[in-house]
Amino acid sequence: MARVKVIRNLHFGPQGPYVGQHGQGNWGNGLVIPEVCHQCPHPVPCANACPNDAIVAKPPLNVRVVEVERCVGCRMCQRACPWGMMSFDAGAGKATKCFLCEGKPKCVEACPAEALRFLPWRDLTDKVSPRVVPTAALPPEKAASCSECHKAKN
Amino acid sequence: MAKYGGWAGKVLRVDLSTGRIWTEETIEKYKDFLGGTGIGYKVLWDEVPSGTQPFDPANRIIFAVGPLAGTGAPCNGRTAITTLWPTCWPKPLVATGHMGGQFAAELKYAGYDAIVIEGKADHPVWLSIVDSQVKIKDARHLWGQGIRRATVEISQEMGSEAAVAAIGQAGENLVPMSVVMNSVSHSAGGVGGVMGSKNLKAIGVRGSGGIGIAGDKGEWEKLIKYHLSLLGANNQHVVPSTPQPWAEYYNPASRWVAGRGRKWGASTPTIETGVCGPHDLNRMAYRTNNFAYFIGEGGWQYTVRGSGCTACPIRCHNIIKVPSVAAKYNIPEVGQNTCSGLFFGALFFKTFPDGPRGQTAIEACMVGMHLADDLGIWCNYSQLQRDFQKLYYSGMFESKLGEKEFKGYSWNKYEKGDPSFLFELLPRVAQKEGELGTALGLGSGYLLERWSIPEEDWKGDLKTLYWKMGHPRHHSNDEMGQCGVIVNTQYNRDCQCHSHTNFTRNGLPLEVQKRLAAELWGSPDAVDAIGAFTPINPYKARFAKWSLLRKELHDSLSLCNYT
Repeated sequence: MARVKVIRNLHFGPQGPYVGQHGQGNWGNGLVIPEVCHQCPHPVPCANACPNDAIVAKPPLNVRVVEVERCVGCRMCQRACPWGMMSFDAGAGKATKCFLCEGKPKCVEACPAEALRFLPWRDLTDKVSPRVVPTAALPPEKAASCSECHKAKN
Repeated sequence: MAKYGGWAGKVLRVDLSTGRIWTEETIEKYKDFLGGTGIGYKVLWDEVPSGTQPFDPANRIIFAVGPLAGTGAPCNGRTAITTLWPTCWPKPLVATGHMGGQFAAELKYAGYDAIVIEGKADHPVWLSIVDSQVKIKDARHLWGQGIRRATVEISQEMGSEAAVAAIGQAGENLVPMSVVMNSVSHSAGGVGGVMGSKNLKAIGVRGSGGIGIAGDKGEWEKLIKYHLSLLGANNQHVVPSTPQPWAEYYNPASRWVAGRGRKWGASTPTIETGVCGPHDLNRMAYRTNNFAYFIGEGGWQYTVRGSGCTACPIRCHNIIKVPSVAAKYNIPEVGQNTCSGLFFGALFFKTFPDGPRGQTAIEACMVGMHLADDLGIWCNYSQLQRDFQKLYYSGMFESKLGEKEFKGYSWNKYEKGDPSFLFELLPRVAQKEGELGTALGLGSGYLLERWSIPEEDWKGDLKTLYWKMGHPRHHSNDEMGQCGVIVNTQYNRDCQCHSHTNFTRNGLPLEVQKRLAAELWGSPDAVDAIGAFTPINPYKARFAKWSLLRKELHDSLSLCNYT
């Protein structure tokens, strides 16, 4: 029922039990990979698949959420998500998914190992190496716009 | 009728003799007993006549959890297992074991608060539980295999999310010193043989449900956060082991071992535990490292990470990686367990060539886990290893085994502290092979009886930690004075109670503990300095009562009393 997916990777890793003790997870090398909704920018497979347009982008964060009144419980969204991130509330008969908890994700708050983080994309940009070190000389007025999205690397 | 949250609502009943599967209503029949050991004791009291033996089909084995299992309440990952106890000497009585891991939560999500198993199948079976679909399935292809093979095969059939509790060859062979194990490293001691006697190889559970909350969800969340803000490190040690900027006190005996420069050295990349203050709830998992706690600073380089049960931030288990063992012993370089489980192999040996905390001791840990956690052998709070050392060095093996069997063991390897000796010993215990293999697997009480050794020899030697009825003392007078004694008298095996010891070993100075004791039990005289005991008084009795009630409440609600 949880929208952050952990238990399916906990024992054997994302490859599942057919790797036996040679994969990841507790039975393998110990690596546990929690999976979170990608909040796909475009396209949004779950929203596209919904025959009733029940998955919408909700301001101000534009989180992709299930509009419960419009959901008819057909589960097409579950079949459409490439990462298997849709959940289904069998009791209510409705699809459910990560809605980022109104901007304060509870899974992030709960994790005792800081393994989950919720932060602006900009704050990650100094930790991801570019493929090529940019060496082009840019005119100063154009170069300034880079720092709108990118932190200077330390 | 009032609306109840927490409980899943059904107790699953299975009669392996007839194949009948049915359910009972938890609230209707067991609400007043909460769950866990409460349900276990109730079933045994009502249904099993005295005189029944542990391996009789009429014995029940009950896997039970409480209303808090599978919720957000911290430390709720434990399953209580209640049954007639095979190692209880001179006659079997009721006792309980516990296993952590992911089994408890999955059982609740499948819709059950407990499983009661009775009877005996006429061929090896395993129990498959997928929500309301419960089936007794053929396990002949798994019988004779270890716990790992059984778990992997059942997981392949049930899916990656399944929780599988399985016995190894020791349980199959009705060895009393055997376990049932789930989620790699989480075992309940003493009960493997009971499952084996019912021809029950394993239980696999998958659940897709959730757990209802009757009250206000916002209040529930606040309560969880409040509880988390009070938690310490493992065993509720509340001060760091070294001076830290956030703490007034420190205590080298504390399990709160995190600090700058202390890294999970075998993870990729290495991960610094750093300054883990009590208000940083997102770093609770870094406070404890039981492997480094016992083996010393040298343990950090082998630590991959902490591990443990559902919903528990303490992570008292360790995953450790020791590359040298792969080529040396032909075993995987990764192992996982905690405390006595981690040191199962090392504790057999009186001495190692490079000392009690060196490389060889660590390799013995790895070999021990590799063997014992697959064969499913129990240590009985390390009584097995203490008995082994005493029996060997007093010459008892030489006189009891007969020349042929005695010469079949490489005793020079054992005396030198060569971990490969365990490959000769542990499989024989699991298979009841030979006099030594058979005797060691009986449990201390029956072992002493079989070899005509007076129980007084064990009781009189404090180093054995032997207490009564075939089991050791567990935080008894050895460290908790009269309070510990009272607690230890109450059970038919070692008491498994940590309420009292978690308090007195929390690391706070004695004067602070005494101030707290006055609030809790009426007088600072309720607690003594460890090892400097004073005469009994009513406040110590209250402390003992508090400890017992707390443990039984934990075991019924169900929450972990150890952590």
